[in-house]
Amino acid sequence: MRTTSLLPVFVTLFPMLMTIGVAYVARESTRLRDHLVVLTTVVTFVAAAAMYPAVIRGELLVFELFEILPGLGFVGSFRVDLLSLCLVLISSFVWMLATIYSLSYMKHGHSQNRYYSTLTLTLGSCIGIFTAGDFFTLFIFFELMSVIAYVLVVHEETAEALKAGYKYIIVTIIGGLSLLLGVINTYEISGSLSLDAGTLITEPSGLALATFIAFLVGFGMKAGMFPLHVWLPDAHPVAPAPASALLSGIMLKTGAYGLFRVVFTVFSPELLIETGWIHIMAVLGIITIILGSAVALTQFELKRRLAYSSIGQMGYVLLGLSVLRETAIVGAIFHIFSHAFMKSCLFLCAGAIIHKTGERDVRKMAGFGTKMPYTFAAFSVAALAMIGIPPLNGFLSKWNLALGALDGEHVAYVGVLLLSSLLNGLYYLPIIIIAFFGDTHEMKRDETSKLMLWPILILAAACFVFGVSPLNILYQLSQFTAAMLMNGGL
Amino acid sequence: MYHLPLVATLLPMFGAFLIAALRKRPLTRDIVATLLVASSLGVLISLYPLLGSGALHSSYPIPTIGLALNFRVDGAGFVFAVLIGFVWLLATVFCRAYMAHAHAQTRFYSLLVFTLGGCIGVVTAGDFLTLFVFFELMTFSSYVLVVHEQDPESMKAGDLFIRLGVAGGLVLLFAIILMQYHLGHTDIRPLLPEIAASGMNQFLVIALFVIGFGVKAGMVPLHIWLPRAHPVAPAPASALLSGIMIKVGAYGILRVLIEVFSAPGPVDSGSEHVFFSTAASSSGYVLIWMGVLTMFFGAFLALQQTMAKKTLAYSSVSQMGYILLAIGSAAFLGTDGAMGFVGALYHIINHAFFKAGLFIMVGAIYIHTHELDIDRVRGMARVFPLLTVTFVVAAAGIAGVPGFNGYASKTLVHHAIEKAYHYSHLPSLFWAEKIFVLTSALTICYFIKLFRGLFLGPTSAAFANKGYKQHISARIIPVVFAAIVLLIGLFPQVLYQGLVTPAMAGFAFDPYNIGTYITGLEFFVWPDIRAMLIVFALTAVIYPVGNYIGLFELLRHGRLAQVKKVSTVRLPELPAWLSVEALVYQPLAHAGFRICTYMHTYLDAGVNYTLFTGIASLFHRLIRSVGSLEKLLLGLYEGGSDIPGKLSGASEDRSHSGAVHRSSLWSNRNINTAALLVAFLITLFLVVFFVFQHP
Repeated sequence: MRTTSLLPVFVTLFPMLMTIGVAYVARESTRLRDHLVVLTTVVTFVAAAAMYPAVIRGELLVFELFEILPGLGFVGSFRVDLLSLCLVLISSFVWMLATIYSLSYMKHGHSQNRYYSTLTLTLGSCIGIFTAGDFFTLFIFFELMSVIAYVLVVHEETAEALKAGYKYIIVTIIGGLSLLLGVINTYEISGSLSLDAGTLITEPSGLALATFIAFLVGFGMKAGMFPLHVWLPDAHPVAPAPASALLSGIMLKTGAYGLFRVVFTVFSPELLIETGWIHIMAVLGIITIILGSAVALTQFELKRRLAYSSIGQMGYVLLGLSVLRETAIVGAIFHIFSHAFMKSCLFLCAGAIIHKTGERDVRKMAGFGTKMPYTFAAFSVAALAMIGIPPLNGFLSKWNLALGALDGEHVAYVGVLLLSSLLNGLYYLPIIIIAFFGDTHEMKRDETSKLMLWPILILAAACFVFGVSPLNILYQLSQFTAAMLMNGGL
Repeated sequence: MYHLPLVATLLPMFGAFLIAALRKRPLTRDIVATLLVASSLGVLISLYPLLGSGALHSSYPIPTIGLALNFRVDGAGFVFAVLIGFVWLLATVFCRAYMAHAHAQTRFYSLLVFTLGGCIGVVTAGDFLTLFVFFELMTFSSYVLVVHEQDPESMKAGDLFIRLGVAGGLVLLFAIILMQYHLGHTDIRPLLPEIAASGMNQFLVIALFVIGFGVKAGMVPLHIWLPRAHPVAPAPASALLSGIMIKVGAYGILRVLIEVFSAPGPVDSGSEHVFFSTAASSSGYVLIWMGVLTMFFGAFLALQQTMAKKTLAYSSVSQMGYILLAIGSAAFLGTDGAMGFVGALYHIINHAFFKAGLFIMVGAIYIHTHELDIDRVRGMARVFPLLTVTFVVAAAGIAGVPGFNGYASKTLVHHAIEKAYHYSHLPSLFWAEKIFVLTSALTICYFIKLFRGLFLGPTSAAFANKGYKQHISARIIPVVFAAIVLLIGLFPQVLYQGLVTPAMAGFAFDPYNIGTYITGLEFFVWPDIRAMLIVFALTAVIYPVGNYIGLFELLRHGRLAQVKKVSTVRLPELPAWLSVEALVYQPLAHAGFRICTYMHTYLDAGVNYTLFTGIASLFHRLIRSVGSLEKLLLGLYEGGSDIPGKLSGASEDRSHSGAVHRSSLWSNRNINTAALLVAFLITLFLVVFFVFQHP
């Protein structure tokens, strides 16, 4: 059922418009600016949550804004179905927490006005990717977000940050161009770019394969897929902690979201299986998983280790998507949620640790567990969830991914998943162990500020609540979404 | 009654938080901890009517995720759960004495109690998924108990413990996922018909289960964490790790091989009716040999140790071998395997009492000496006369002396291996039985060595303090353990008829076989006592000879040369590299890390180099060549449009610097030409575009 609703446009454009407000107010008062930024993200989250009842009833929220090019059929349209809702909800939620965290984290930082305006603008464009109703609109928001996020990456303006930012922007441009190629090809083949039209490309051809690869490059770049992941371990660690949390926790997911749309809307699962093109994604997914986890083991700088871990975890999503079985899709979508909670929590914890102690080397964190007990407790919860220890959320996604892989008769994939879990254990557990048990001297308690602690604790609690627990509505949402995707639309 | 298993499991888990909250009041905290353990035990005991009559199922579905927490307590589960609760209670009381001056007591108490919840959860779980949840919780919370001392040695042991724990857990998860996929559920009950119908690869699933649980059970060659982790933990924790937690692994193997892969009723397989899977039966044969290897190497290595707790830890490995052997024989014989089952269960009970007791006894000595190496701590019989008696009783239990508890269960295990031989007539099992006898003799040898080292000889001056007063619980608990060992030993039928045989209900054993061999079994009969006497005779030969030729000092690496006179005939010491750890695990870990580094170097940094740096330099080169092309073109324009200027000042321009040259390039006239050219190209493009767009 199609319902015209202003909400999709509102959640997208409200933060973008508020950016102007934030930038203007910032000249008058920093307090007012901080309040306004938080208000913006909270309102966005509430508006996103307001879409939940309608969408879960099976309604499709649409709104057509204007025609970008008359006569060519590109329409600046917005459209929220279950998959979009999943991502809008998680993005706005994590963004809200990261913004609140920023208030304390950035307190004595430089260029705060620039930082906050960029943060809200990125939120708007990121949500725009998820609410876009056609690939052209999606492309515009995708480019907008990628380019603006550059400002967040280079925020510290150190030589290292600028270098990583340069790499980021170059790779982003290549990815964007590739995506544009994919969009143009799709239009060339099918004459439409709308997400509503069902399957856009139904016939296998050379051009269709080129389109698939172009999309894979464009979105895979953002998702940190091997071999396009090179920018990620440089860019994520240099950004300020809340921005790293958003880059790793949310913005990577835009790539995954795009690939979902490519698999289910541009192409169809049947076509991809029939032609075998999906195997490209599966193989790249496996390499991504193993590579991310294995390389994380060799890294000793906390944020770099987390960044490599993100690569591995995005591989799970790619692998789950490439299996194309309902259980696996449930696992992939639920892992998007899980990973957003876990990784944002870990990055925010890393930020709190570095902010408080200045220590970045995981081998030198002995005794920090007694110094910052709550932060490290949250860190441990998120890290254990990452390994997939029940009853935390990571276990559920792994469970579904593995069952889905068996559904698709890929026993080896289960082995890959478990091997990666073992590697996760090998690089996360030493951090926890050394922090809590590495030093017998009781360190003086020196916990991070409340404003930074609460977002961390909420995210850690989310790992529990959305794990093996009766409150796990996100799992249901993932199930509905997977069923919707596998049944082809609503 | 429906909710009791859940209550018994969650009570200690949530109670752990209460204990953490009471950190300011040590006495209240200790009492609360003891009460929590006691009440959990009480809840479990109230399930007694279930024994022999069936199983209690309780299910707690979690609708949002479509899974459920299932509990199922049958006779075997009940025996395990009560055993766990009982030994836990004794160990918790002993903590009062042992932990009195330790650091981080609150952490220890709350995790001790939390781990109890995990253990009870494992043995009362109704499906493998629930079991797995509690299994992992148990692994992680017991880690904290292992590394409690936080010295480098315990941290290293803890690293090994947690790594193997996580790896074992993942292997187990693999098996559970395969089961869930093929059957649609992971219930722990006889499932053979479903399994046979689903086309599941039975050998793979059994192997994964046995490896996953085998890590926890300390099965050779997965045992390497055990002799490291058990000695470094505080004594009450060692007692529970060795006495209880490794049994959880045995419990899992027992459930998988004897229950899950059996049929509730006859399964039609060809012409004859089978109750047991052939895969389980062949795995049973393999498991018999794993058990034999485990018991022999455990005992052999226990002989080489000088640290009392290390001896006991290796002894645990060895005793787990007995239990695995019995389970293997039960699975191997299928419906006729009742003897193996009762042997395993009875030995699990007995081992829990004597091994936990022994750890607590040496712990009581440790409170005084802070040292447990038999090269230095000697002559304790004079300081602790009571402990000496209890130690002898517990050691007699483990040695299998008639009249002490180990005799009954070892006899059963011995019967089990004999039965396996009689039914199959495999010559290999004949030798397995012989190794069994030899191992039993070695067991007595290492206890003689340990007893002589620890209790006999001159007391060192440092520990001879007569005025030392033991804490009351350090005196009572060892006595309680010794009394239990003695009571079970003198009246083996009480437990045998009261707990062990009723636990067979629900398992697919042949009632005729049970009626003939199991129910009316007498322990104190001449053939069994004779078998034990053979073991003693063997010991009487091995110990003096071995002591003379240095059989018990193969791993001391020259440390002994200064202490003792070296005899003339002497076995060479074994080199340090001759261990599973050095031969298999370390190279594996090394290779694993190597692979990770290679991946970093070649896949990550390599891709980075080719993709980013490589392509960038390629582009750079391309742009440079385009730049020179442009220069060429501009030179042509210049040549074409500025002929007078060229004619007048060509020679000067060439000789001057580039800047001057460039400024002349961008003179107005050149721009005009360029603009014209660009306009022409755009027009051309538009024309072509529209022509092709609208044919």
